[in-house]
Formats: sequence, structure tokens, C-alpha cells
Amino acid sequence: MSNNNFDEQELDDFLQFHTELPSEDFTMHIVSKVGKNAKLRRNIFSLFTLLGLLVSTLIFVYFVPLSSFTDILTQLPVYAVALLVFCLMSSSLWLLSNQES
Amino acid sequence: MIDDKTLIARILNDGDRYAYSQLVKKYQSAIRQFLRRLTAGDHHTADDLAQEVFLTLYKKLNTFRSDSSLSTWLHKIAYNQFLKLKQKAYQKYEHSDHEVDYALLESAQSNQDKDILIEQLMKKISTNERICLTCFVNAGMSHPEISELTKIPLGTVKSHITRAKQKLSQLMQQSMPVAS
Repeated sequence: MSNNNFDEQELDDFLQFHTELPSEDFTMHIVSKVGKNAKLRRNIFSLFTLLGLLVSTLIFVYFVPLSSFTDILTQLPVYAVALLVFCLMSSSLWLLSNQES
Repeated sequence: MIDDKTLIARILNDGDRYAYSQLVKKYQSAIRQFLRRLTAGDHHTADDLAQEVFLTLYKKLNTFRSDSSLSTWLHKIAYNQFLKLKQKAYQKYEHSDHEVDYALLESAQSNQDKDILIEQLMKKISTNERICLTCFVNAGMSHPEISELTKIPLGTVKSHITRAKQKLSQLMQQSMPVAS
């Protein structure tokens, strides 16, 4: 900074960034924020899926008497019921698991 | 060092947080410094805006087209974040008569002092001059790129940069002690 004359090159050099800002805290904060946002989105998605299931069940029960529904289930072969239960359980687990989408 | 394309592919395909953190680490300093210049030394606001930039990166990475570099894309997002802020608080980021600590110029031996001094000097030029100059000198954008980004006519971009440099040069020369 000893020269009085600032030519264009000197000014351009002076205007460059002179320091590298430390990255650890900033990066950690951002990555954790991304994680929180993803978790929030997943929770909202799970909540509305459960609400949707609940409402559809209520509607189903309202229009189809429960007795006829249990009749259908009892008429199904055991392996089909087991498969149905397995599918329901695994999709619920997938929805509620902490695995990030 | 893993290249940007590989890191981007990992984030898009596997949601790889480690790859994302590598991109943040690589570009955080440049983006934060860029925003510190645009906000003329408002470090707190600049860091808040930088956070938004990197959150946008994660959300919108699938829209990134590799016809421009990731660095340019991030600087464009950063500029747009600054623009939103400027629209809300225009007067805060217009040039002001705040005194610049010229003592820093004399003693600006450390790199940190130099950066602080330049941020203070940015208050002495208009917002558009500051934007054009910072995009040109620090973000490495060409005149047409700045014109496209800021919607300022190409000729005006060039004159903003020239005027900003003249003003800064004059400010610095005025503040220098006359050589005996």
C-alpha cells in the first residue's frame, strides 16, 4: 500500500478476496439444516399419508358394512391375507423409517 | 479432490450428504465474501443469505445445467438472494456517507484488514456499480453475463464498472498521504 498511483491492475488485485473464510461451522450448520428440512418434509408426508389412510378407511367402512368386509377377508386364502398384511406392514415401516428420501 | 460433476451426480442419485458438504466447503468462502461485498460489509446478513444460497443449491440442483460452471450458477443465486433483500431494504444497501476507516489503508498489512477496507469502500459507490464491479472482478462473470443476470443494458454495465473503479481509485488516492 505504499504507492500513490492506483493503476487498473493494482486496483483489480486489491479488489480480489484476500482471505479464505473458515468452512467448518458454516458447512456443519448448512448440512444439519438440510437434514432437518428433509426430516420435516418426510414427517409431513407421513402424517398426510396416515391421514389419507384413515379417511379412506372411514369412507370405506361407511359405504361397505364391516361384516361384509370381514366376510371377504375370511373367504381369502391364508397366504393372500398374509401377503396383504406383509405389504401393509412394509409400506408403513418404509414411510415411518428414518431413511432419507 | 473430487470434481463437481461427480459430487453433483452423487447428490442427485443417492442424496449423498457428504458430497453436498464437500460442495459447500469448496464454495462457501467465495459466496460469503461475494455477499459481504454486495452488502458492503454486513457480515451477519451476508452469511444468512449464503445459507439460503446453499439450501437452494440442495433443493434445485436437479435444475442445474452444466452449460455454465457451478460457481457461476451459485453466484447467480447469491445475486438473486441479495436482490430480494435489496427490494425489502433498499436504503440500507444504497451508498452512504459513512466514514471509511482509512487508517486501515495505511495499516492494511493483513489480508483480513484489506477485505474489511474494501467492504467499507463499497458503501461509497452505488448499489448497481457495486453489483457490476463485484460480479466482474470477484465472480469472474463477463459483461454480457452480468447484463443478462442484472437486466442492466450491456453498455451501462461497462460504464458502471469503469465508474466504480474510477471512484474507488480516487477514494484510495485521496486517502493516501502525499508522497514527499
